[in-house]
Amino acid sequence: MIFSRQIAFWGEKKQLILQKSTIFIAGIGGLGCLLSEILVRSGIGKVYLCDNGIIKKPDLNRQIFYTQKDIGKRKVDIATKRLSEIHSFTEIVPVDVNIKDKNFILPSDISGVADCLDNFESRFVLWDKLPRNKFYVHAGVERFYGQVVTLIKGSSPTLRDIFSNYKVLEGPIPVCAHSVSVISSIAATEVVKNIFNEPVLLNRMLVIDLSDFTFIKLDVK
Amino acid sequence: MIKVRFFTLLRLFLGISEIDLDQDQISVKDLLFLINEKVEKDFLHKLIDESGELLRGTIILVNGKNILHLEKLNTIVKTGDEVNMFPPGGGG
Repeated sequence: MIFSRQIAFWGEKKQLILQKSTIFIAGIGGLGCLLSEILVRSGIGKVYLCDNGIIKKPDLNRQIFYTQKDIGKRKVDIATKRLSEIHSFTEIVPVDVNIKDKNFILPSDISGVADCLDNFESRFVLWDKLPRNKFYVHAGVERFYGQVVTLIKGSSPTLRDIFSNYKVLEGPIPVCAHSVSVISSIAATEVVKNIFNEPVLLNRMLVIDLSDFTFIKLDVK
Repeated sequence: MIKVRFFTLLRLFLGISEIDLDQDQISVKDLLFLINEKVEKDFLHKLIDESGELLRGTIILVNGKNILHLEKLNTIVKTGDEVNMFPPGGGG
């Protein structure tokens, strides 16, 4: 049985909860690739994969779904194919749109959102479109560092409350596979914890810095 | 005592992870000037522009609240408060 090794420690009841859950994954870049793979391998019922990007050469240092033969192809197409090949227990729904598109609305059947986007402007738009009481697991990464936090729309501080004063970098954001893999794994774990109604990072931001292996939780209000 | 902690690029630049300041109360702006004196590294230019306004790029949390939603650089920090400063990771 595919999921036997995890059912061995979290139990069949939680596996059933996972199978009935749906997550909207915003961004299938560095963070979104590994996060979606972990959720699918965990046996989540349904994922929406949202990205309107095309695979480029500089993506290959960290975006684990893509190889050099995929350059120029649409990310959602390759990601959907890859995830569909793992097993058939998860429904994979590609969403090839820009979050900032005025006509875009989040699907109504989601349990929560995994923010794997690569800029704060899109994140704020996604946050605005999130229905009340849904969870929002934010992940962000740069160089060797990043952060993960769970917010609940309506009862947590807003994403803008926390990240006002972010800076838009000129040019591409420096980033590598090491930090992306650690931070996306933590974010995927936090998504599953939210699904189990046991979030660890609710209103607590985990700041991770691999340059000196800092892992610290900061309360946010 | 006011505890100030630095993360990511600030920690890398300053070479320290935190500093305790023996102050009863102080504005965030004065606190930054005080730190600048103590660490003997000019990190103010990373945080404050020539007109004394907060530059974009660093999140400053006082007891978990972003100072932009308090009194910005005029936010008063008191003994026992905790200040955390970090440039967030923006990429994905």
